[in-house]
Amino acid sequence: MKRLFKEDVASFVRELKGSYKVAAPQERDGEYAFDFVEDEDKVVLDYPSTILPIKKFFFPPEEIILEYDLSAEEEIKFKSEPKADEICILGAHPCDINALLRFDMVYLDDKFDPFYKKRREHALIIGVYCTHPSEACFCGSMGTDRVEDGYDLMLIDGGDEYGVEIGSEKGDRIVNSMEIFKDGKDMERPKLEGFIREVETKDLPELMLEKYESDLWNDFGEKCLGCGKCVLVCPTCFCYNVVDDIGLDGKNGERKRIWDGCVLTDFTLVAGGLNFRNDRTSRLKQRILHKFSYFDDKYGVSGCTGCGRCINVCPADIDCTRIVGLLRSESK
Amino acid sequence: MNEGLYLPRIAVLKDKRAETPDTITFTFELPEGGNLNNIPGQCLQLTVFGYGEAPISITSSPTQKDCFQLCVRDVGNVTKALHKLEIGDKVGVRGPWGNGFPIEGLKGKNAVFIAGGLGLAPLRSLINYIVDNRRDYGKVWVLSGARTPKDHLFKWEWDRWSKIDRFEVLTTVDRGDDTWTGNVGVVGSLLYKTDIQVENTMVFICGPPIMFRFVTMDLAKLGFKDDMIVSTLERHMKCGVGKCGHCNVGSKYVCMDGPVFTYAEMKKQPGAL
Repeated sequence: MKRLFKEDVASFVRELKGSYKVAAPQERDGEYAFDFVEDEDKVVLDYPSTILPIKKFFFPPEEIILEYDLSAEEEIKFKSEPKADEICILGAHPCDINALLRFDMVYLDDKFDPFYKKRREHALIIGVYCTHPSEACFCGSMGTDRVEDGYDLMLIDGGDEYGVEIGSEKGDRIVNSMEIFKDGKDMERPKLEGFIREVETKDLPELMLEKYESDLWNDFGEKCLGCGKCVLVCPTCFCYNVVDDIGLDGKNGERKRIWDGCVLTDFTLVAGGLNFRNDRTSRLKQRILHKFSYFDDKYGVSGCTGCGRCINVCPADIDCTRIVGLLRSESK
Repeated sequence: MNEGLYLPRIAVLKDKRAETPDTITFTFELPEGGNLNNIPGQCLQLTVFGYGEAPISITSSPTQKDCFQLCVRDVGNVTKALHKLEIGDKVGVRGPWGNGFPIEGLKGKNAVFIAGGLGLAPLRSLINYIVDNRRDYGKVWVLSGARTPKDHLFKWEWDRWSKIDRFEVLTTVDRGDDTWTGNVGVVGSLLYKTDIQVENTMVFICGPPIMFRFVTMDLAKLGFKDDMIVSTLERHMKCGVGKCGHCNVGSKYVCMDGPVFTYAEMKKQPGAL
């Protein structure tokens, strides 16, 4: 197994920057955030969790999906062209790589999203195995502390050095063409221990449906502020709204998509005023059920990767592991 | 290929026909000719340039070869702008999308159509498909209800449909007026005014949720099984291609897995009804 000395990480990033725009975790206001690297010495690969997951690099908070030009009388001109820089995501944890694979299930199906696809094709993913779960994490329960796919390289923390796992041909080329990688002995993937939160996943999709009418939902629905923070920080929340902007001359228009969330009031509002999920309880329930039941029914894996971000940011202290736990104890 | 997933094609407005004070049937042609090759019951995303995109069901049958039609009430931003368009104006179209009505499964069977108000718009695509493929299908009952006589859609089709072999058209209003001599009462009451055969018959319902609830109770009383009752789900939609999440119901996306579901299927999806 090849290895990369920790003291060489900054040089490695510098070298990567020759071919890629490199995004990596860096400290921001006492927390960590994925951002494009300007100063290689600021890259932190041993971090608990980032504020936002890496979805923002593939599915930006706002993007133009269509432009139209109405200025010519006889013909309306359209533009809907995906563009992507060559980027490298360095330092993604297994939970976030697993989340990206779930995103792929939705966005790279037979009606694939051309914008997302283009960015995925132009991205190099170098992950790092997480070494210690944070308070809100429950990836151990969701099986997303392991990753078998979706990366080019994976780094295993071995003290002063990283062991390098190769996940793709592209990763193989990088490791074997850069002198910064040295030969070393094989390393074991770390085993995460010490989780504070757990979710029992056995028959979870069925349990959630069974408890659909439980009064317990109201307890949490009443607390929910409907602020949507959980959606913004979620690595697998993929919903968006679409709005048209027209220029003041009325000749040019842009169609943008913007992150949206099922916990927000108007998410299911149709013209005419009917709102299919007209209360906070039904909206919160939709989000939790989509993660733990509906997504699984459609794609065969849980829609939640246990990253714990929604628990961390919720101003009303709503904790999905607690909801699941209480529903389960109700059914016993 | 999907590179143009979000790229509309152009359609040109050829005709506007007022159905009710707030609802118009729009006829569009594609510059390249032909129609949308839609399955009855499918919908599309319609762009009114400068205003936005909205999901609209297609009211014309694909057997109408040279154009397609949308019957639209002016309730939202996009549909209000659509109502103001003039003949010759261009719109954008993406689709058609969705599963559509089971035109194969219905072959050799009878069909009951139960429409409440605007619900007749999507049903008309299948009614006219049956009209144009008459030999493939059994008896047809069209039951249409509206709030008042002036809220009825496609009154100009009633006569034509009534004259077709093995077709029966019954209509009703919640409140009559001086011009109305027909039935008064909810649309479900029409089920008892004629001799509807339950065996080998599929029922297609479109209308407001409250109407659906009562009509399905009537149908159960008459002996119709849930898997012979078919309806469409209305949901907010933004993308039409199973991405934006707005139309998610249980593990289904109305835009791709629907909009057509049997009552039995709807009962399995939490929050569908």
